[in-house]
Amino acid sequence: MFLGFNEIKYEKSKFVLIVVVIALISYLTYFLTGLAYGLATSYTQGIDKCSPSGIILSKDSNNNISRSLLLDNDYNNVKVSNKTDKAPLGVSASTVNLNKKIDVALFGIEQQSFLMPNITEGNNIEKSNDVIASDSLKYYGLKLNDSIQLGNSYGKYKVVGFSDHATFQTAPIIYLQMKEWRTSAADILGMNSMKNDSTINAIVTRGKITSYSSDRMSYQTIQSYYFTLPGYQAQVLTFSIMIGFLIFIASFVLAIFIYILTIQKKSLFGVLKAEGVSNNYISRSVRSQIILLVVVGSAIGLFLTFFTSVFLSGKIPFLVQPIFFIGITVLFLACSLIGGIASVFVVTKIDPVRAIS
Amino acid sequence: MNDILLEFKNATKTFLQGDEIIHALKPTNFLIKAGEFVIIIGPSGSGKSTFLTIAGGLQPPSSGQIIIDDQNITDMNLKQLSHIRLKYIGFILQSSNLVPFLTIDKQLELYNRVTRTKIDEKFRLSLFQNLGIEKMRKKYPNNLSGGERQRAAIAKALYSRPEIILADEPTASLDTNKALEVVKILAKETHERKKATIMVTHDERLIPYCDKAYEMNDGMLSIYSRKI
Repeated sequence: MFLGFNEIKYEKSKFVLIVVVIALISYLTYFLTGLAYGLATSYTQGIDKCSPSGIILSKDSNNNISRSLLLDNDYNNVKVSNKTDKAPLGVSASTVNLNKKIDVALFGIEQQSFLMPNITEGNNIEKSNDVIASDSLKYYGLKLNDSIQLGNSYGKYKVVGFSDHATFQTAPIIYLQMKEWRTSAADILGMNSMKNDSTINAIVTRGKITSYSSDRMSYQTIQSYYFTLPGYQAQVLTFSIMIGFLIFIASFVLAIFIYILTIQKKSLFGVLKAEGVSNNYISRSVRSQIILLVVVGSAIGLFLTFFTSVFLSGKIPFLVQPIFFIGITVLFLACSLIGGIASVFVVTKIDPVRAIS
Repeated sequence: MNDILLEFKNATKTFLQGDEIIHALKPTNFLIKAGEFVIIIGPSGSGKSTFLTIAGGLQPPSSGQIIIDDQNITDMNLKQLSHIRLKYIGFILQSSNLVPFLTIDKQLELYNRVTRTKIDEKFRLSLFQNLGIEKMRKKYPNNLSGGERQRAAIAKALYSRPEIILADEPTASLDTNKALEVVKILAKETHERKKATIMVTHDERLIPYCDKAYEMNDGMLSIYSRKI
């Protein structure tokens, strides 16, 4: 650390630039990773945050949830080990007029079911025209206790609460009681018969399913259902490959960068070797310097990422997955160390006679 | 206790350059005792640097033996040699082997860091005072004059309390006055601290300050014969 730290102190401007480069590379990688992950999550998080394990749709729906129609009878036919491990769900698309017209997903849920969202602000649904809205609608001007109209339905609804991470297929969710959902969905779809019916779109389950009528319904794990959402698979694959390459190339660039940085000190290390300083000491001082630079650089990158995400929050689907960030940081550190150690390896091979003459 | 610190026993160095065998060092017998200041004079390419690097354990002789403080270093491995250099030898090089990004104070501290020992502040200060650079201790090598830099290099070489000082053209970049000054200091430190110092140079004006002078011609080491 002695050599590494004193060198940084002596050549401040050079090392500031180096840290800036590392910070920018890590910023780019962290931020794009968070964006891709956030976008992928915005397809599924409205359902996924209730940690379900499977979903049942009607057999002829071809995995299109709004084309899937099930009735009370079907719901009762599904047997799970614990009574609370199944929840009926109604899903339809609508619009809300805020400071502009926003596409929303209407979720019809039973209040006691596990699909009931967490409330981050306000209260739970009490009256029949109470709704809970995705907190991302706040950025379009929606406030607590606002009255909203859903598409061309007749009723007005009062926003009594907000919930976070509430999007489905990237659209913000508005949660209604199942009965109200049927009314508004029927209004929107023009299917008046639905109002008095027991129609639902899907049954979301947790744990193990013991039985269901397989001639009318089909069961799949929630993960495989996500991949049938239009565009989800293509998007996840594209982004995984893009981000994968980005991380790979960024790590490689860092390794080369650090290699060149260290190899420049070859003659100095040669003189130190001639004076009897061990390879081990030189290698340790290179290592600690790299760790310092990469840790400070990626910490700045991380700070910039969070700063940007706060600044843009609500406007973009950015989401932090700590495991990804930790993984990227560890990879960057590892690649930089490989670059540094490779150059130290070159240094250990220097003939000290040549170094001093 | 033997006060012979460094001994060459019939040491030679040959290497191949293309098909030609180069005798960089012809069979050499040489010894130096504690408190002796030896100068080796010779033109460039005469083999004096080869002599110095073999003396410093930087390369092994092709034949013969090198003894440092009663230890035969001829067949030691790289790690052992590195340890010998750190413990017994202080180098002073032409371009001053100072680390560019360390202050003069820290040039010396580096030795403590490498050997995991405590800074000997008293000794460090006395070296700086003897060499007249105590005002420069917070400065970087780049901000010193050539003479100050070489004096700092001498302080660095002495700080590890080596038995042997090997100086390779330490005055090459200095004017006559500065060069004489540096050599006087080197001679004084050698005598007072009972070191064995070998200085390689091509500057014959420095001879009056040494105890023994040798000359090196085409790999042949012999007692300096010309009158001054």
